[in-house]
Amino acid sequence: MMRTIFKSLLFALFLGLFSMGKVYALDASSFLSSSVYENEKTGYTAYIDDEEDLLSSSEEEKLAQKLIPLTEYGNVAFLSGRGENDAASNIRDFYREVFYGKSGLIFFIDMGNKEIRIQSGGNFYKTITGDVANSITDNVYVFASKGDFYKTASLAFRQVQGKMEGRFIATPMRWISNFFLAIFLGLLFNFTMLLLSWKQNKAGSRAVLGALQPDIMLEDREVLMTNQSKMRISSGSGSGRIGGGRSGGGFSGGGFSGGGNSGGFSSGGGGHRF
Amino acid sequence: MAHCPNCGGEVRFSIDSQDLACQNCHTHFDPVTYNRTPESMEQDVYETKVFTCPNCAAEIESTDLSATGFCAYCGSAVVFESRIKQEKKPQKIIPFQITKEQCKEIYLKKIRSFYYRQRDLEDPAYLDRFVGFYLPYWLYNYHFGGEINLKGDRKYVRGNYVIMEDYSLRGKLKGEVEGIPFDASLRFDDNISAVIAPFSREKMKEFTPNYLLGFYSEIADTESSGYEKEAFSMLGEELGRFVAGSNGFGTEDIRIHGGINPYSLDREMTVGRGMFPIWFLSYKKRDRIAYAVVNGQTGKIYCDIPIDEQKFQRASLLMAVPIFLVLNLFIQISAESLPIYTLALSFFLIFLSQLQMKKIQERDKEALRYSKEQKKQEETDRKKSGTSFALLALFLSVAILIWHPVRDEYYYIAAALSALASILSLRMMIRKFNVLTTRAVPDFFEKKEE
Repeated sequence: MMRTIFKSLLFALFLGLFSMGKVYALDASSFLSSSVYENEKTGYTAYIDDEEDLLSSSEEEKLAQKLIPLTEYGNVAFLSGRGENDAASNIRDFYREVFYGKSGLIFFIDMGNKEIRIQSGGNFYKTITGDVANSITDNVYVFASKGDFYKTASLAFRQVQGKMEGRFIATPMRWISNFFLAIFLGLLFNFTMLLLSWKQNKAGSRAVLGALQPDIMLEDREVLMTNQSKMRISSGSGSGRIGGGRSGGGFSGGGFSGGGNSGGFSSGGGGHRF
Repeated sequence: MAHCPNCGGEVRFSIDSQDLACQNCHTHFDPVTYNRTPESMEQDVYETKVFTCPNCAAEIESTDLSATGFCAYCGSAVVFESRIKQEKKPQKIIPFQITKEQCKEIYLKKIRSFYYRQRDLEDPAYLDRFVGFYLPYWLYNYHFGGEINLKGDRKYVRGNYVIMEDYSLRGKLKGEVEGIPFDASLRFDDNISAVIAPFSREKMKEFTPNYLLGFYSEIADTESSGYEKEAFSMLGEELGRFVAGSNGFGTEDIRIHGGINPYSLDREMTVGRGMFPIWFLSYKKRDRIAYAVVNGQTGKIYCDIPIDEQKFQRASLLMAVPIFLVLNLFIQISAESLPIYTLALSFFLIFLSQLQMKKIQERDKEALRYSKEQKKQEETDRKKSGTSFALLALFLSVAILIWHPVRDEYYYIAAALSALASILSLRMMIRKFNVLTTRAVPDFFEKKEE
C-alpha cells in the first residue's frame, strides 16, 4: 500500500517538474499556413511565421515585399520562434520538415537561443552556402542585438537577393583581421622554413674514423648456436583484413551547421548569436 | 722568409704543384729536402713568428709571412704585434690541396644556395681576405688486441615456422687506428672543426716547416689529455661497427646484443700532433662576426650566413598575398573561432622562439672565446627573444575566449592585435636568427690571463 502511494507521489512529482519546464517546438502546420505570396510562374511560396511576434503588421507587409523577388529561386520564409534544441538543429530539422527536397531559404530568429540563422537548400544552397549564410548573419546580427528585428530580417533578405544576383558581400572587419593574419602567417611560414633549413652537419665518428682507414681484424672467429626455437605461423595470419566501415557524420556547434546530403538533396546554413 | 737559392726571390708552398716554388723565377724545390741540414733534422723545434692581435688578443704564427691587414678572428684591420718563438715540431702535416680560388668557388656556391644571404658576402674584395691556416690537431693512435665474447640472435622464416636462434660469438680482435684528430687550438671553435671534418690520412706527410711557407698557423694550446676519453669512445664506436659489419659477425644476419667494451682490450695509446689545412674568412658587421671555414684538403665548408632582414621580410610579405586570398576566398573562419587559431599560432610561436634560444644557448655554452662582459651582454640579448610579444598574443586570444562576447568586432580586433603582437615577436626572432648565425666579436685577453 505504502509502495503504491510512494509510486503515485513520485509520478506526480515527475509530472509537476515536467510541466514546470515549458517545452517549445516549431509548428510546421502553422508555418505552412502563414503563406504571404505564391509565385505562379515558379510555384514557390513566401512565408512569414512570426511566432514570437517580433514584427508589427506593417513591418510584416514591408518584409513580404522583400520576399517576393526571392520566390524566383525557391520557397522563402521568415520564421521566429523557440525550438527544443540548439538553433542550428532546430532550423535544420524544421527545414527538412517543411521544405524537404525543395529549393528554399528560411531566415530564422531563435529567441530561445538568442541566435539568428539562415538555412537554405536546393537552388538557394548553391549560392547561399554555409559560409555565405555566416557572412550575412555576421553582417546583420548587430540589429537583432538592438531589438530591431525588422531591420535584421530585411537587410538579411536584401543581402541574400544581392548574392543570388551575383553581387558581392562586403566583410571589412574580416578582411582587416585576415590582412594581419596573412602577414603573420607569411612571416611564420618563412621563418619556420629558415629555422628548419639552418643546420651545419657535423661529421660523426663513422666519417672521421673512416677517413683514417683503420686496420682492424677479427681472428679465430667462432659463431656457436646456443639455442634454437621454432614457432609455427598460424595459417590465417597475414591474410587478415582490417574490417569496418566509415560513416559520415554531421557537425553542429557555435552557430554553424554543416550541409547535409541525403538522397541527392543538399541543404545547410549558418548563423550568429545576438 | 725563405729565399730562392737561384734568384733570392720568395719561396712558398705551391698548392698546384705540391712543392715549393719561387715566386720570382718559378724554380721548384722538394719541400722535404729544401734547406734540410743534419742539425735541422735533429732539432725538435722550429723558429716561428707569433703575431698577436691588439684588438682581441688572438695569436697566429707564421714562419715567413708578415701579418698586416685583418685579424681572422675579430675581423678588425690591425697592425699585429709580433715576437719570435721556438715552436715544437708536430709529427704530421696535411699540405693544402684546395687553392684559394677553389676555396672561393666552394664558398660562393654555398652562400648562393641561401636565398636570404646578405649581398656583401659575395663582394670579391671581401673574398680576397680568405687566409690559409694550418690548424693544430692532437692525433690519438691506438694499438689494441684481445678476446671478445658477445651474444647475438637471428630470426628467420622457413616454411610455416619462425625460427629463432641464440648465438655465442667469439674471436680475437686486434688492430691499430692512427691519428684520431681533435682540434688542439683553444681559440678555434670545436663545432666548426666538427663540421669541416674529416681530414683524410691519404695526403698526410711527415712534418717539415717548409710546408708552412706562405701560410699562417694556429697555436696548439690545449692539453692532449683533454680529448683522450672522446678519442677512445670514438674507437669503441668504430669497433662496434666493425664487429657488426661484414668483416665481423654481420654476414650471418646475426643481431649482436650490446656493443664492444673497448676497455676490455689490451691497448697502447700514443699521442702525436698534426697540422691540418683550412681556409679562414671572417665577416664583421657592427658588433657581430661571421666565419667561413673551408677544409683545405677536402673542401668541406662551415659557414655562418647572416640573413638580409629586409629581403626576408619582403619575401614574407609576398607570401602573405596568396595566404590573404586563400583566407578570404576559400577558408571562412567564424569570428568566434578566430581566437582558437590565434591561440594555437601563439603557442607555436613561443615554441619556435624557445627552440631558437636553446640553439643559441647551446652554441654559446661551448664558445670559450667570449669575455665575461660579452657573456653578460649575450645573456641580456637573449631576453629579447620575442617570446614576450608571443605571450601577449596568447593572452589576447585567451582573454577573448573567456570573455566570449556576442559582437564580432571584438573577435576581429583581438585577432588583429594578436597577429600584430605575433608579427612583432617574429621580427625580433628574425633578428635573433642573425645572432644565431653570427657570433660576438671574440676577446681572448681574459683567456690569456687565465
